[in-house]
Amino acid sequence: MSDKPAAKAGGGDAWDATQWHEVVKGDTLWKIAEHYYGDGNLYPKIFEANRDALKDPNKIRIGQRLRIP
Amino acid sequence: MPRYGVVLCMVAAVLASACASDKVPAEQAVKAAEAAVAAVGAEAAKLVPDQAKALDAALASVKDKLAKSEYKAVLAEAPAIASKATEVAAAAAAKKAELTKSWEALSAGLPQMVAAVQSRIDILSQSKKLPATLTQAKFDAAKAGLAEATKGWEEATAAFKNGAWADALAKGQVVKAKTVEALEALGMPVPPAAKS
Repeated sequence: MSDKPAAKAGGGDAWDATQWHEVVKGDTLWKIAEHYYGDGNLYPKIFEANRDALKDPNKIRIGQRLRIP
Repeated sequence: MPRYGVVLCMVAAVLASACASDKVPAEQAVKAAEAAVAAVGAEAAKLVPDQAKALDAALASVKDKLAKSEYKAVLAEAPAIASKATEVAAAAAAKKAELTKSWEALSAGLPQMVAAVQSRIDILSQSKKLPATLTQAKFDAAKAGLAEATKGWEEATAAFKNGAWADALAKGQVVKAKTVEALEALGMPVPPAAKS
């Protein structure tokens, strides 16, 4: 059973307003998009913002930190 | 009696010549004071307005005294104006450095904050419905705040380019506050630098 998607803040830069999400069990990009955007169909936005870490939008790992644009 | 008259005339002549001998030094002292004040520059009036105003008033005072032939007073007061001008110039330079440093920090970071808000609003505008944590009212407020912040930043940047440094910083702080409000309305994190 998944927990509520975990939202975290910050980056190295003191002005960085990037929102980060740490993947928990049961998360999918669809669910994460549903949580932050109200619409799971917008998951490609999250995928594109994390191309450096994600090769496949269906494959995310627990503990992975994803940028939420 | 005639002897007294002669003595009185001689004293009057000496006094007159003493006054006349102060005139040229007094004029030179005022010229030196004018040059010192001119060297401070027009920027000082924007950076340290009270000190610049006091300096201008001191110069006006000695010029007025010169016009009234109060040469001794001029000679007593004019030299201090030059050293005061040096102090004002130094204070203006320090203030400018402080404002410039603050501006550089703000202009390095604030645009990326605004961009983060813009990005989120753009994405949410494509959503079929808003997330559960965001009401329509908050979303509308965030959009309005972003528009104000964007316009405000243009004005702040223009003010800085025109040398209105204090005004630019004040406008920049307003932009920061509006952007923070938008971030909070959207449920986004507020960066540490924006909290101060």
